[in-house]
Order: sequence, then structure tokens, then C-alpha cells
Amino acid sequence: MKKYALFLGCTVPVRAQHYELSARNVAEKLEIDFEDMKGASCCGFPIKAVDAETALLMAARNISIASAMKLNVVTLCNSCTAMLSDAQLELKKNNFYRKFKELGFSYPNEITIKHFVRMLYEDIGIEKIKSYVKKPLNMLNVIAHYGCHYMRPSYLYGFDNTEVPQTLDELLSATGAKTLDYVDKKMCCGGSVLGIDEELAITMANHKLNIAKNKNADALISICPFCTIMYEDNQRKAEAKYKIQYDLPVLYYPQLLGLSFGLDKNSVGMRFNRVRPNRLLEKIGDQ
Amino acid sequence: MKVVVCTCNGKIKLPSLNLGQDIRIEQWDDLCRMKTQLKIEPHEKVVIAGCSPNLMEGLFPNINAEFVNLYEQVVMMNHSMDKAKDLIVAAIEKMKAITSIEPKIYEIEHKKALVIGGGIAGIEVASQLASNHIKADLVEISPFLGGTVANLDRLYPEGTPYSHTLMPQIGKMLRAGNITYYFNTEVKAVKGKIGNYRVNLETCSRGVIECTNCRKCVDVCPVEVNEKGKKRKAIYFIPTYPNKYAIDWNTCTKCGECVKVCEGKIELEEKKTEKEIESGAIVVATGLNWYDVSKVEEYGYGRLDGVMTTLEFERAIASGQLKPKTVVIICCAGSRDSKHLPYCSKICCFLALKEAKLAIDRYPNTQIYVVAMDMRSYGTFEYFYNTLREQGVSFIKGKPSEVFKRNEKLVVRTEDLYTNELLEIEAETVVLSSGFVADTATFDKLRINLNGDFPILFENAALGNTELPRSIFTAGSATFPAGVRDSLIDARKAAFSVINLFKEKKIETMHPNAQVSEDLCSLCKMCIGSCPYNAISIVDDKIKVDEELCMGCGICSITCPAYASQIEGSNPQGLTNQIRALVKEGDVLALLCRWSAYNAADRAAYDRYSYPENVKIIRVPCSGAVDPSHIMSALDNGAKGVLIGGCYPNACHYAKGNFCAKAREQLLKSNLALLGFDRNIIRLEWIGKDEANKFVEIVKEMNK
Repeated sequence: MKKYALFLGCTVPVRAQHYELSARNVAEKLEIDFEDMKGASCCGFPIKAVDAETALLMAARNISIASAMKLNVVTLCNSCTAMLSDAQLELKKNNFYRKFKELGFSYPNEITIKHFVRMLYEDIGIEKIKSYVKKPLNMLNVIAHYGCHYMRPSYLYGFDNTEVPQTLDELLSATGAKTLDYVDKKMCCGGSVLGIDEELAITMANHKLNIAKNKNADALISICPFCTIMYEDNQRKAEAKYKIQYDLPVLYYPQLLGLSFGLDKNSVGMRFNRVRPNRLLEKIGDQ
Repeated sequence: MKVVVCTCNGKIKLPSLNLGQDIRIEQWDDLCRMKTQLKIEPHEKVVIAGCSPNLMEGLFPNINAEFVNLYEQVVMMNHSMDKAKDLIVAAIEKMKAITSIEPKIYEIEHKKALVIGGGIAGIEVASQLASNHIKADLVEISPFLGGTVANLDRLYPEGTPYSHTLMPQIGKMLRAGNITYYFNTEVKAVKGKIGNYRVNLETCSRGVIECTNCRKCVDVCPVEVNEKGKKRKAIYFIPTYPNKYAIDWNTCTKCGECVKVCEGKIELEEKKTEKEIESGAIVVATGLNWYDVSKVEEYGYGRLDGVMTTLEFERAIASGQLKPKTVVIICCAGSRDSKHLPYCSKICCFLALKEAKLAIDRYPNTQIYVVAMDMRSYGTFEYFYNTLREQGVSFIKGKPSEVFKRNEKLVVRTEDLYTNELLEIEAETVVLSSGFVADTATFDKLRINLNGDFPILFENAALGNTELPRSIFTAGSATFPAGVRDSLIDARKAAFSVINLFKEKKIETMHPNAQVSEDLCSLCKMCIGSCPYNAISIVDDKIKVDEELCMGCGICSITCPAYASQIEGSNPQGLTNQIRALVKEGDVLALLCRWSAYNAADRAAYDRYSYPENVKIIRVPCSGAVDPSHIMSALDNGAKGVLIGGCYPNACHYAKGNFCAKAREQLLKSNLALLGFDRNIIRLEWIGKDEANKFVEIVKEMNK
């Protein structure tokens, strides 16, 4: 039984309940125990551009909570992972550590910070996941979207190939689904510029939606709530702007994994998906 | 001990000195002219008072002396002769405490040189030595001479094939005689020191014992090898030297087909033999070492078909295996990139231009794009670049973000900074012009640790390493990537150094070295990291200072917490005594680096500046050789201020001494308040050699 502290951040509980729900259910199946971090706050990422130090201190505060719990952290959001890892690196620097101490925080136990998917890949392993798959999703063609901060910046993670990422594709293959290779796999969803230049952000999101449509993908698989907001919530806007009908379901990886484990559609929170994945569910025979 | 005073033809009017019984005083009128009459024993400690040590040191090298500058610092400043007396007394106090420098003698036992690498540079070194009647051993790791040049189709910028350059070189070398060749041979270990090396060589058998060049073996060999873009068999020949086929053991399957048809004799057994040779000097000419460009993952080398290196492209085009319609050449693939090589490898831009010219000469309708951040065609090579532009090669300024496959075609995605557009260029062939890395393996065997960098610091005359007696030299691209022209010049320089070394039976030098006391050393290893020249290592649980690398900067002696490491002739205790004797209440002490700030103080005299009499100057080898304890003893004597004058950042004669000084100054300043001093009582200033004005202003400010 593996035990982790689950860091949710802010976007997941508010706008991606299905991500949390499916992740928790899948973890239960895989005999992973999640403990909630009491008093955890936002990771600090949204204000990083305005005040980097405060943002890092917010992240470091969350680390100190997990450190007191003596548990390694698992995060669901790419940006949270980057922010916490960044703060962890920063804690090794004297000046930052002094400020951190002055605020009354401490970092008693060395912990690791991993994205949920990275944890599955590294700590659980493909073979073990395969052994839990009851209902292979052979009929599905999906495209994987990694998002920027899943494996970048490389100096924070040292995980996966930053130019030709493979891990999510391998994990998707474990469910039986076929992953489609495509150009611009590591392109940003556009979420990071949404607040400043919506036009540009929608153009960027549209680029990948277009690829998925041309490839005839059944779904786009995301592992970051920010990316899903861009591809799912803003899909309508892209459709209106470019006058195309996408109707492309955007699923979180644990949702798909849950389906392959034999969980029903409600246990993986399918009703929360803004773009209804009805055709996909029909295809796998789960109405 | 004796004190030698030069009165500079009566300009320095010293009062009579009484310095104690065992100190003799000699007065001379004009040492510049009478230098040969002054006799000083090598072990004798002397204090020479007169004009600036910049001149005096040149006149009397290789002695144990402390120089006192009376002319520039006292006479020209119109200071009283009491100061002169203080300076002399302080110098005597220093000389009492220091160990004298032992003369070091290196016998050149073997007047024979080892040249590692049989490329164009190694060949040039060997043939220059041979024609000067010096025996040379030429060691080449492959079965044939020629190195990288023998793999090329043509040389930039003229586009002449190597037969114009390499073949006459080889001919010259063979005519000169005097050279022993070792092919298929690797240097395993090197022992010994200057003038007396013992080198272990490991030779792998060639396979082909006798050869008539009938070429029948190549026809029957079933193994086809793609060697850097060109196809060959496992038994092969490169038309350089020797004129004999060879077997590539890495790919040979030992099927025995060649043995059946051979007119000579082939032995299909890979035999390794070891040999020890002796040598007086070593020249490293190991040549170019390509950076593994598959690490630059965004360009897909090794992952995507059609992405190749410049060498592979050149060989494929030259042998007619490749006839591309569109080619994109990417410069700086992995160079000037913090993730890969942070430096510019100097020659890759020319390689890119050369490949463009090669393709356009063979197939004039080829569309060629060269994508470069900057096209660095320095010097006269600019015309090469202009010629290609006229021939229709498109140059794009930008750094490609990635290369990928779309519809079975390679696509290079790049921005064009001239037009500010995002381009996607489709091509069948993408050529990566990558940079080069240092051959650290060979330097490690020579126990020269370069931390993965090129031996620039080891070789660079600008940093003064020519002061040391040395018998390991580098030539050609082993020093830094270079074209054939530069490699040949470099090789001649290395050959000249060897000839110069072998001129004498022995070398005698008084160059000061760091000496580590075993009794005091606790093996904390701090000195190892502090040495800018990687001269310190641990051998058999003892700290060892490599005489051939130690420059005598003294940084290690200050870093050592136990003062176990000391520079001959300038140990910290000597400087402390000098300061104790010199500094009086209310003085300003200036500890000036001999390479920059001390010259500025001299310049102040020539330019008729003046500074107060209580400014006392001591010359130190480097600002990094000043210990906080020296500063504290000056403050203890009641100094009003202590100035440390060093070279500007990155301009230190010893690579990083001034940065060490800066770190110590910060640390000391942060503790000064605790001791009840003003923070600004000590100052570290960068003073260039001509900045007399700056120096005078600073000391005047400190004297207020």
C-alpha cells in the first residue's frame, strides 16, 4: 500500500471535480492511499508573474505541510507540480530559506513532489497497471496532450524526454487505447496567455483541436485542469471563431484509466464533462 | 642576508642605515648597467632596493629577493627617507620568515618526442621534428594516417581536396625519416615528468600482414559498413599511409572469405600487444571530437531519416549516394546553448558554408537554406559567405525550434528574424552543423584535469602559462577546433616548443611552487577546488602539487585552513611580518596585485600624481593571495585603511584570484562590525595597470 499526500490546488476542486473523483477512484483500485493536506492553499502559480517570491513562499508553505505529514506529494495539476518543485529547489538557497523560516515555516523531512501521472509511471509501473485492466479500450483512438509543465523545465524534473515525450502515450497504451502520434505534441494549450490575449489563446487551442479532428480522434486526453479548460470549456469559442464543429470530448487520463478498470461512467465523473462523451461511451458499450 | 641599494646615479639619497649585525649593505650607483658585476648565490636571500621591481625583476631573475621600490614610491613622490627606511626594514622582516625558493632542475633524459594523433597536425609536428633531427614516435589510434582530413571531400574555403594538403605533408614526413609509427595504437598510461616520460602503448594487430593491394579481399567481404555517411567493407583502405589494407575489428565477422583470396597474408585474429616507450616531450594532437548531436533531441538526429551531420552529408554527396533537391543546413546545432555546449566552436559555420558549396557545385539546382543565429565568418572568410549568397544559397537568421516529419517529408520550423515570420521549410535532407568537445580522455591520462573544457587555460599564453617549464604541448584541434590552416600553424608552434626544450640538457628554473606540508594537511581537499590550474590532486592519500601546472599564484595557501600549503618565497607569515614592521598608526596600507594595481601605483609616479606619505604599498602576487589575517594585522597596528588592488573581473592573471579576494572581502566586511571597525575601512578595488588616477583618488579618500 503506497501512501501519498494529495495536493489539489484551486482549479481541480472548483472546475475539475471529475478529475479528482476519477483520480481518487483509480487510486483506490490500485491500492494507493491519499491523505488530504489540511490547510493547503493555492500553489502560488497564478501570481508568479506578478510577485515571484510570494508565489514561491506560498508553494513552500504547502511543502512544509506535506513535510510535517512525512508524505510524498502527488499533484493533479501540471502548474502546481512545477510551482512546488520550483519552491523545493529554491528552499536549498540560503536567502529564500531564511525568509521561509522567518515566516514560521519549516521543512523537517525531505519529500518528493510528483504529478499523479508521473507517480503512476514511476512508482506503480505500466505492468502493474496493465494487470488491473479488465476492459481493454481497443476500439478507441485518442491523442495525448502533455501540457508544458508535466516534464518542463527539465532542470526541475529530469523526467521523460522533453522533446519527444513518451510516458503518457505508454500509459494510454496500457489501457488498450490506440494513441495517435502527431506533430506539435508538446505545444502549449494557450492557457497561460488566456488572461492577457484571449484571441491568441483560442488560436493556440484551436490548433490542437484541429489536429485531433483531422486525425479522427475519439478523445483528447489531458492531465492538467488548465489545459482542459482551454480544450473543453473554450471549445465552443474556438468553434464559433473558426466556424468548425469539433464536438471533441476531452477526458482526464484517470477517467479513461477508470473506464478500462471497469468502473462505471459515474464513478469517473463523466457527467461533469462539458463536451458530452456520449459517442465515446457508446463505442465502449457503457451507456 | 644582504641589502643591495641602487642609488640610481645619486637620485636616491639614503641616510646611513643600521640594520643589525648580520645584514650587509651594498651600495651601487647604476645596477641597470652593472648587473653582471652583482653576484648573488641561488640560496642567498637579498633585499634589492632601487627602482620598480617591474624592471629589477627582469634584470635579476631566478633569485630569492624582495624588491623595495624607493624610486617610484619615495623619491618621485617627494616623501621623506624615513619611509624608505621603513620599507627596507619591512622587506628584511619578510625575507627572514620565508623559505627560500629551491632551484628546480629538470634533466631532459630522452631527446625524443611522442606525438599522439596522426592527423594533419600530428603529421606536421612529427615532420617538423624529424627535419630538425629529433626522433619522434607517432601514435595513431586508427590503421591509417590522416585523421579527420582524410575523411573529408574538400577543405574550406577553396574547396580543394585533401590531396592538395595532406598528401604532400605525408610525403615530406616520410622523406624526413627519424619517425617511428604506431598504428592501431592507443596511449594507455603516462608516467614521469618533464623530460622523462614513460608511456604505455597498446597496439591492436592490423589483420593484414602482407599486402599487394590487389583489392580482392574487398570484393569478397560480405560485411558492409556505413562509416560516417559512406559505405565501405569491413576490410578497407584509405589512400594515405600506410599503403596496406586493414581490418575493422568492430564489424569483422571473421568469416574467412578474405583469407581465401588474399595474395599476401591475413591473420584473422585480434591480437593486442603492449609496449613501453620513453619520451622527453609529449604533443597531444588528437584532433576534432564531434559533439553527440543526437542529444539535441529537437532536431531528431538518429530518430528521423534524412537528418545527418555535416561530415555524413559531405561524404554522402561526394560518393554520389545522395542527390538532394532541398537541403536545410542548421548551424549551431547544440552550440551556444546552455543545455549543450555553451561556447562557439569557431569552425562549424565554415563547415556549413562548405557543405552548401559542395552541394551547389555538384548539383547546381539544389535549393539550399542555411539557418543560423549568426553567420560567424570572421576575417577573410567573409568572401566565402558572399560568394555563396551570389550562388543562390538562402540564409535565414534564426534558431530552428524543431525538425519533424509531416507526410514523409522533413519540416524545419524556424523563425526568420529578418522578416519576422514563422517559417516551415520542407526538405529531404537536414544537415546539422554541430560543435566540438575536448578530448578529455587523453588529457586525463596525462593527469591534466580540464574539467571537460578545452585546454585553453593550459595553453593560453595570455594567461602567462609560458612562465612554466613544460614538456606537454597541444597542437591543432586538440587545443580548440580549428581549420587545416590554423591547425598547421598551431602544429609548427608545438614543434618549435619541443625543439626549444630539447636545445638544452636540462632546464633550471626558480619558478615558485606551492608546497604542502604533510604534517599540517588534514586532507580537507579545499585547495583542490581552489586551484585555477587543477594542479592539485590526491595521490596515495597525500596532496600532490603538479610542478608542471602550478603557477605559484598562492590562492591555495590562503584557502588552506591550516596553512599547510605555502608558496615558496612568499608564505603568509612573511607577508604578516612585513605588514607588522611597515604599518604605523594612521597609515593606509595598499596591498597591490603585481600584474595590475602595482603598475598603476608606478604610473602615478610617472604621471606626476602624488599621494600622501602614509600610504604604504606592498606588492603581492595576486589579490587572491591576501589573507584576512594580513588585513587584520594591519588594522591591529592601527592602520587607517587597507586597500587591496586587483585586476578587473575575469582579467586575473591566475584566472580567478580576484574573485577569491572578493569573496573574502565580503566575508571579512560582514564580521568587521563585530570587532568594532567601520565596514569601509577595508576596500577591494579593481585597478587597471594605467589607472593611476583611480588609485590616487582611492588612497586619498581612504586617508581622510
